[in-house]
Amino acid sequence: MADKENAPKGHLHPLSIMIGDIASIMTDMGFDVADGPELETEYYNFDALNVPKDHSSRDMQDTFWMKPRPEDTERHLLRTHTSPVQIRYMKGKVEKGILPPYAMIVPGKVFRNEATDATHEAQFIQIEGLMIGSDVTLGTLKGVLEKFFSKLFGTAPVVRMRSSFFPFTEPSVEIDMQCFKCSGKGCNVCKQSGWIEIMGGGMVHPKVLSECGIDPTKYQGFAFGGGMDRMAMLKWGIDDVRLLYNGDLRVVNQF
Amino acid sequence: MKYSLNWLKEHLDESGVRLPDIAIVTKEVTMRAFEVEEVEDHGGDAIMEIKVLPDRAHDALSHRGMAREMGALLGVKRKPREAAPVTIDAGVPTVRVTIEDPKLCMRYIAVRVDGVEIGASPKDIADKLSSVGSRSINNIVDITNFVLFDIGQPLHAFDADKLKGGITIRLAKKGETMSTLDNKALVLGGTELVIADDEAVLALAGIKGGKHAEVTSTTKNIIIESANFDPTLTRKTSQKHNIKTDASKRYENGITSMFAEEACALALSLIATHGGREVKIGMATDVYPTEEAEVKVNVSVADANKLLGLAIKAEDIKTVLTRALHRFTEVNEVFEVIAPPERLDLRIKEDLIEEVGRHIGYDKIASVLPKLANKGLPNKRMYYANIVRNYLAQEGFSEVYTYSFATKENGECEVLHPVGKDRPFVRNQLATGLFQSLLLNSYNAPLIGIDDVRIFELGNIFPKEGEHMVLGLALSSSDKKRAKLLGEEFERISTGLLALLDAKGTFTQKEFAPTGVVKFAPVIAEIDFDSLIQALPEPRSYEHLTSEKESVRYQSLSTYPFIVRDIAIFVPQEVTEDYIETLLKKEAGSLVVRFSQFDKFHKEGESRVSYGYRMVFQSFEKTLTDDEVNAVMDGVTAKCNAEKDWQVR
Repeated sequence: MADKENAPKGHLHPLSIMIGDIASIMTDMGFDVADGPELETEYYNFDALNVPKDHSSRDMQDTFWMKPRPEDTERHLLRTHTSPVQIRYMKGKVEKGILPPYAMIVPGKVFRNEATDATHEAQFIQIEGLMIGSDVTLGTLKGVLEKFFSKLFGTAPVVRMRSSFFPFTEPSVEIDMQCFKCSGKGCNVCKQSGWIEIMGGGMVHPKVLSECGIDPTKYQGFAFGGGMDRMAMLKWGIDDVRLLYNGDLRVVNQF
Repeated sequence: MKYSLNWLKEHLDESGVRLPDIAIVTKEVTMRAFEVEEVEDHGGDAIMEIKVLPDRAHDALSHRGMAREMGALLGVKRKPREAAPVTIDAGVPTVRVTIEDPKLCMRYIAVRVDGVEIGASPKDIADKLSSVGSRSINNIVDITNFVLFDIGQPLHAFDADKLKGGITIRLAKKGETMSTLDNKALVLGGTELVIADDEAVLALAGIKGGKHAEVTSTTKNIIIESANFDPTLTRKTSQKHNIKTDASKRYENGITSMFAEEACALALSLIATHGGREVKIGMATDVYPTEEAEVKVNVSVADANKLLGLAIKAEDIKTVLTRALHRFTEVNEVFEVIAPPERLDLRIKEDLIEEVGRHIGYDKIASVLPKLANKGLPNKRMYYANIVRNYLAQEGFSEVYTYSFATKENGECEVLHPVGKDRPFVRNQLATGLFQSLLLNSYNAPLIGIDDVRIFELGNIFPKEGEHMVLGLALSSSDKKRAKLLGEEFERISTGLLALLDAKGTFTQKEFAPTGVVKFAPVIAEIDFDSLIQALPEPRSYEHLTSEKESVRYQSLSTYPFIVRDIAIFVPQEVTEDYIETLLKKEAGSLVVRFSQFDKFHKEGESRVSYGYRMVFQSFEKTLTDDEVNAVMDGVTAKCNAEKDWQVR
């Protein structure tokens, strides 16, 4: 073996680097980093998040359901988003008698049952955020995300919110960041729009808070979530998401 | 859905405020309601592709619904469509309608119309349908489709003469059959809601009509259906039989039963004008067991400001509610709101706050940074994983992510509908993925510029006893001597890791036989990371990753194979490496994707130095041939030999 001094230094996976960057930015702001299982129950992934029983997102074509095992008392699945960790986190706090404020993020692997191509993978990494308090508003969400994106992409803090819909937030918003490459002038990265669609979010639905044992008349808060693979692809210009999961050092060793 | 701007304008009264330029409409609708995905010019009209949000499919999947939204957003008055009243002919028989379960069919209106002449559509209707991508069929069918796209209420027309007795809305009987309008033979399972006459199934309720009572060119007398069906059952049936239609799409999202009556009136009025000279319209049968209740929602100015982070006044909320056609009363800044009946999305206070917030505009919300007392903490896994990452990178390991899906041999928990038929399980070890990665990277080693491969992964595995995080290490070498030392090297590194963490644990080595480019036995080992860190203290701060680079410019990968060439040269000792390398690179050209020195030897007393360089050739456009690369190398050799006192060995 070569001397230690001369041995080549290894490289971290770009998604680990991005998770690390995000964790630095968010812990600085006071957010904890939480995690949870990738193999989840229907309750945490859907029911507790106010997703209607017959909602289409529960269908076979979107969700990897697990083959039932004799010992199962409920249906299991590979989580389709990191939002079940919101439920686990809030319930955990309530059980310990800890009242809000809560502030946390979850980077984690999620799964969607869809055909794979250069921009779609059946597994990918999502980043989730949650903040609950007595005076957390959509304005707080905007402030936090402006800081988040400006630090992560090294740009001016400009974020806009558009009307959207998710079962677990009300109001729900689509979050666009000003294009980091052209600063909003329009370029190939943002398809000349000056904006990049990057996340979904909103104010946590009162039913979700109640489900976790939090009184929605006293507390309120925001949640956001987005695909980190896409952020990494945008930031570094990676052109095929599949290259992030096949253990290819031609990619990793560039970082 | 596709919307025609001209059609939308039929629902707007522009005598006061006019609808602004299409670019402004697009921007405002996108920011405050729905994403306008595309606007296409269509001979004096603009066709807008608008992605209606799932909770607004109740009301906005129609031109009237979208015009109401646009009018509300942009302050343009709405214009009710005038449907000329029709004359009822007492001589036309009424239709007998029976609803078996009012929970599955909330309303059913049936009207018989005699003496229709099936023919071409009026041009205006055919043009409208074609502008939004719907094919013109005949006057009657087109009128029903027009009403669907205009109001959002699906209608159906049956041939009255093919119908035996009355109409019953009931669950199908197991084994019952029907043939759809597009000749698909269905065998019903018994869970489907159907429209039936006294003998047979006429239609799959809310989804698709059947052949049995199809309207054809010879049809004389028809029955128009305007109804409302259960959303969940419609969706399940539509899925079960894999039939999706414009009607099923609307029913499965749920629509108000209030639409049925006005849609029927509009259709009859159009049929009276365009259905034939002898048209006689019968008395409608309207079975509506439980009238839809009005929903009242209270919201205060303070509630709205508290959730949105705005400082709006009662006056602002009043403007929004008025423009969006809500009925309301206000006492001391508390509004009691009755939303328009089609707005099934507005049920709780927060729904109304969203309605107010998006109309006012989220751009009006000022950013606020929270004041959190302490810095956040990572969870234990992340904290210790980052320590491991930093250590292993220092030891020359690169981090890989491999797939969670696995073959039957490498999994214990099975997925019901796997994405790849070859990998229907979730992995119960990292080793297989790591071995695959060793193979891939050993093959690409010259391209990557490495001699040996050292990788690690931190990832979850799913054995029967439960999911947990595992750390896996893998090492391989292309050199026989170094390969023999891999075991020793692994011992040193793994011992160092455990010492660094101050944790006790044992790595499990996994045997993999040398295969292909992995010529010598690799070392692959795993350890249960969750158990390893279990007894370790909780983190007190965030552990940063140390090896991040500032600005990476990612280089895309070529999909074509690469070719490796080495060159060894004697060069006078006064020649600098910089000079040699510039010359070699310039001569070898742009096909060289990696260039490295692998040898430098200066024998005591010699005036020349021996250098060895490796060049890896690869094209982004094609597979390079040996001949092409040899030609390049011949050029390089000639150039070197032409230098004073240089000699290619």
